[in-house]
Amino acid sequence: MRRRGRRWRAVLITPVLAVIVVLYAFPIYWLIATSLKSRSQLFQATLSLFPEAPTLQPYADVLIDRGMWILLRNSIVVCGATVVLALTVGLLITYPITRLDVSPRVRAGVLNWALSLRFLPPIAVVVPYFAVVRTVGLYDQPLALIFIYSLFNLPFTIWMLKGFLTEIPREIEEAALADGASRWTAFRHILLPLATPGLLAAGVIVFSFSWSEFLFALILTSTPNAQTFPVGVQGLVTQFEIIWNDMAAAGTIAMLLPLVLMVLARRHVVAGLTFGVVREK
Amino acid sequence: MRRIKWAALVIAALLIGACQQAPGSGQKPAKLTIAAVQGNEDAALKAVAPLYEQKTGIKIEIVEFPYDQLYEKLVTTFKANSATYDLVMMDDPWMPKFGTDESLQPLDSSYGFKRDSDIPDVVYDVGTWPPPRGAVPPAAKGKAAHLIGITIVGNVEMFMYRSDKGAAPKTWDEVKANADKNKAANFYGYLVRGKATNPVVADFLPILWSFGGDVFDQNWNVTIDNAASLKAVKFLVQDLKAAAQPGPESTDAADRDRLMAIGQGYQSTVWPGEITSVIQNASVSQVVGKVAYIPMPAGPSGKGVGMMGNWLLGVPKASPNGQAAADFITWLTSTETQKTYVDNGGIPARKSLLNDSALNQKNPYFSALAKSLDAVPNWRPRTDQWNAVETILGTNLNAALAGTATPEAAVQKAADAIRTLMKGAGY
Repeated sequence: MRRRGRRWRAVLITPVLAVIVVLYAFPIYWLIATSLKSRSQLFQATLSLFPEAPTLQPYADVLIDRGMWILLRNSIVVCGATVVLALTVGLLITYPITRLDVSPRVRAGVLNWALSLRFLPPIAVVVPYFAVVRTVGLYDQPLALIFIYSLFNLPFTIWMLKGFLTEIPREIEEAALADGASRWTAFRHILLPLATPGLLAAGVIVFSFSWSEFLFALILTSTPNAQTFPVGVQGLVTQFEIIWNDMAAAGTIAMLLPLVLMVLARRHVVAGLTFGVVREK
Repeated sequence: MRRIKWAALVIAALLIGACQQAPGSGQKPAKLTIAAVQGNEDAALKAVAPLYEQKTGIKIEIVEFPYDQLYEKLVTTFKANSATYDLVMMDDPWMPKFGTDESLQPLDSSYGFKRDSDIPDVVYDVGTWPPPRGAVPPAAKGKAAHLIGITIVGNVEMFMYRSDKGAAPKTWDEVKANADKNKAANFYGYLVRGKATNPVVADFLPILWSFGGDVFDQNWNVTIDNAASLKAVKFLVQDLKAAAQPGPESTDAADRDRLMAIGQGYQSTVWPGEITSVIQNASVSQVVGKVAYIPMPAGPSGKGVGMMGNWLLGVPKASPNGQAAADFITWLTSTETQKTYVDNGGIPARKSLLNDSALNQKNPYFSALAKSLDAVPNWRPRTDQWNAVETILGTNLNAALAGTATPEAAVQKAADAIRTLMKGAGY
């Protein structure tokens, strides 16, 4: 009787799940299919679900002819540096409030300050930040993006690392200290290896957030010296034409790196998102 | 003491270096950076730029932005007085803003630019600030006129129709008659470019002027709600819409070109950039040889009025390489370079090229463009408030086209908002 109930449930749930999968997967399929279509196919009277003569030309157009490989390189450099900076500063802030005897008021104050940063809408700071960047000579420099991306990702990093670091028993570190290790040695050889999954998860998420950022990249850069990939993708909408196949190719490329990182670190990312951020200890 | 001396020496060297980078410097730079619009308009510029490097050794770096983004980028760059760009590509309606803000170097008094008789006067006029004719903004009155931009894309809005299916319309009444006659299933008698703001305004202004209406009179009084203007609005949102494609209120140039190229449109207004990139492009268009181009048809006023949409090159005030930038403009607009420019899809403004019979064979719109320039097309009102005016007008026209407002209500709302805006801006 119970087995029949399970079978009926499976019969009902499977089509629902299939519909959900199609809903999620179809835009990705459409993006990839469009990226493989020729320009002439896009100008046909009837739309086709499949590329008639699949071509990689749009990828070559985007990366080589339009020179967007430079913007791709900039994105990797900016996002990579943002991850390193955000994690470093995040650890410097999180370590004392989770591992040292800091008063609860200071601890709560730091965490609330980080949270308040998260509520700050980027549009509110873009103009003053632009003025600062101009004054210190960082306009059209990747460094300007690295600083602001790190700042906006810091709250997330702090809250996520706090969750992970709190999970690691203090006794392990204290045992190392009792055995004569310095605070730095205990941090480097005991805490850091144990916190690696958390750092990895936070790094992947910070990388993904920075990767798709557009507003600051648009305002703070003016040449391929510092422009990032999203700025280049937007440029494929011209006054008289939307270059759909090139845009789809650029979209596929833009999607690829965060997707691969997310797949590789999915276990840690899910763990981080489920307990690291929300649980207060 | 020695350290202090060294420090002083370094500071002096830096100061000398900074002085050498002063705007307008005559030194030959290694590179000139151009901010350009992405798309068909800068394709020929990109094609000929390497020739300049071969000739002079100066590298030309072209940084491209989409239309809206380019305007925003130029405004912020000029406000910041940044020397990022040595040359900037500008749509002609932007000139009043940059002229009023004095963001550009005068090309005539600083670099000796003079008018060339092979280029129509209207092309120079559109790059001159304050404007040499028509209404002048209050802030620019009495100021000496200077050439601040030189046209490199001689765009004028024209008219296209399927010449394999009918004769050229001489008037907008004939346009309407042809639209009704040719309308069929999956074939639209008129393609309306009706997307909000800039697109619908660009489609509408030639109709408005041909009907004897206008946005402003010579004293900046708003006239978009007078009888002639209202008649033009009704013609677009009622008469032409009746024979147009579904959803004209969300149609932009890319959609219009696609419909025309796949053989589903009979006629529409058109910019030269659309012709070269899509309509006459055999790799995507099914109507090559079946479409003809003519100047704007005449309205009840008895004349047809095209619209300027020139793209100009100017030298920002902050550029440290003014002379080299001016030399590049001279080279680019020379007859010799313009021939290569045209071979690469460029849209010239030189009469000798537009009337060249061999070039007309390859570029069937050249003759219509030459006639449109000869007829002295209108330009959009020369006010630094134009972007805001266009947004107001384009939003309300779009509402009328979508049927969410009556033509009367849309025109009245637009007129009231434009009056308030202009009053606040000191007009």
